[in-house]
Amino acid sequence: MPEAKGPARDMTQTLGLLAAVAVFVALGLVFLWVPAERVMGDVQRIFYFHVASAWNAFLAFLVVFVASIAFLRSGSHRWDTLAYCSAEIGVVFTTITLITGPIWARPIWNTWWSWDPRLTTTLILWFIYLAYLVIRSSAEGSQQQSRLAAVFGIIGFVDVPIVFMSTRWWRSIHPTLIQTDKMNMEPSMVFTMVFSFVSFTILYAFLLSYRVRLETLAERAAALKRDLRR
Amino acid sequence: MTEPGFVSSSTLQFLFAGYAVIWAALFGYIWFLARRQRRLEAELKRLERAVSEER
Repeated sequence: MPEAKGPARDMTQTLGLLAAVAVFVALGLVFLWVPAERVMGDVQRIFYFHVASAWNAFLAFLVVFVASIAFLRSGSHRWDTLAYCSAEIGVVFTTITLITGPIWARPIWNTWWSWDPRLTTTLILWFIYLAYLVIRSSAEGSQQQSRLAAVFGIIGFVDVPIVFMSTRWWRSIHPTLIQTDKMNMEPSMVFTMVFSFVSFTILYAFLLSYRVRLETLAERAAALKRDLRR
Repeated sequence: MTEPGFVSSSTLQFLFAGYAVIWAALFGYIWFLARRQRRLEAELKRLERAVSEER
């Protein structure tokens, strides 16, 4: 059976195991080690995975941006596949960010949603990459449609630095954890946050590797179908 | 203002809901990928058999 064994599958499995261990340790740090925040109490613990999810979304969309440029320059289908798979994962993590944020906000801000610059730009980011997925999923081997999706993936990335800088550029009630010279948290919280970032980055690498492998399998199946039709 | 380590029971339900959403989304996505993998592998097996029979 093709792809049943091989370096790609081995790498995906290794990354999956690493991600599971790292996320499990991060959970231990979040719930058993780091103290509750003085003002917000235990609900602040959502932040560790909420911010890590937002980081993964940014990373995923950065990969879409770079891979889309590489695809337009080289025309290599591998870059297009990488961008498509990364965008899908980015949308999953943006969805997590958009849902966990209001769950944290309800007891802290006394509202589920506010049209705050950070929240609004993040929602726009989600819509941009949903649109990218719609355009790219309708490509079905069409180079022209893939190129259109790539252009969309490049332009859409403009919103990522806007999301990041929104709390600095405009008046916002959203907390700014990372400042230019320091993080607004005590050291154990910074360590837990950084560990959560690392564990989620490994999780992203695992999901991307898995998703790319599936896309490769789907392309092979499509090629075999074409062979049979001839 | 709460003291460090203070367990605020009124916010625990939100903490639980937050992590439930995270795990539901992540496991849901991985389950979706695993299901797609099984389907694709079965389809590839079938197609390769069909191609080899044709030759």
